Amino acid sequence: MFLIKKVCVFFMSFLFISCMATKPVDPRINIIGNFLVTDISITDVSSVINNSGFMEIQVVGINKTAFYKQFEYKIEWLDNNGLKISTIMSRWTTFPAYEKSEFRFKAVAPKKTATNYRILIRKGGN
Amino acid sequence: MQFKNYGAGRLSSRVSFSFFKLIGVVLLLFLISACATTTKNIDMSNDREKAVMGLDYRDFQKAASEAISSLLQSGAVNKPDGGRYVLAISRIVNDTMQRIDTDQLIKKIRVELLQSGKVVVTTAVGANGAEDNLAMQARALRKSEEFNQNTIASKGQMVAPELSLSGKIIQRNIRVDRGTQQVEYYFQLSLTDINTGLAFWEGETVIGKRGSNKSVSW
Repeated sequence: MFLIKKVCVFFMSFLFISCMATKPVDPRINIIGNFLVTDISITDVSSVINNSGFMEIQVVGINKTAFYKQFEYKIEWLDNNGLKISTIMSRWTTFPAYEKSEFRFKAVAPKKTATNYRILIRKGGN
Repeated sequence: MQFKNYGAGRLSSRVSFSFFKLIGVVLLLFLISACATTTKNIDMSNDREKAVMGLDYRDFQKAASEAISSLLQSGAVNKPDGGRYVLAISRIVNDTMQRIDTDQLIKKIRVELLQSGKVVVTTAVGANGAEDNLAMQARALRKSEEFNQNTIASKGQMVAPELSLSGKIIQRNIRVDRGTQQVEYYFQLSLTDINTGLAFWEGETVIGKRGSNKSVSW
């Protein structure tokens, strides 16, 4: 009985830690694939309006693994009403993440009307 | 009776032979149909298929989106008075071994720049003549009595371009070893201020591919 209790506590704490790890720094960032959560973590997302009036964003994260990895990101730009703006700039873009190192990527909005965004991150393809 | 038995045996062996023949044919047909590549539409928003040695739509998308991104970040298309620049498309040289319509790259850039609200493209002037000749041809109707002259474009209405977009696509083939080749593609673009002749912005996207020597990149 005591052993079962111990196992349950262990699993509960494991689940709790897992849930904590999946919580991103910004809810607008969606890391696709659960295994990625243990590999990378997003530490900062900043956005500015540049001189031309376009929103620019920068995402900073860490590759926690001991291996060089390739990931892809895709940014969906949204207008004031939350509607998606169609643009070829919303495409899966590869970025490198060196072992045990910080990575960052930057993007600019296609229109001045882009006021919000959603970022998808997944493991790199071929 | 012996003859009858012999005949029945021959018949059954014939039947079983043709049965196996039929199965063989069916299996062969199945294998052939299984080997044949079926046609399917490409999921352009999530295409994770293998890269090709030549240039495909993904490469043009990459080159175009990187160019636009760089342009919008640089502020080169940010007109001081807040208006829109008038852009003319100059010569885009295809210096690759492939037959490319350079519009595959330029059209994407034009569409995005137009949608950005920073640039408007003229189709009345171009390095190889007007892209749309009708703007000038419609003016030839000024002398025609068949047309209401009030509906014809008046003189001095066309807007001359302020910026010009020119570029080049270069290909380099390098042999890595006996069985491997490397193909490099360079997408180079320049945005020139027509008034001063100075390049306001320049960008380059390099796409490298390494693969079998048997793959053809032209």
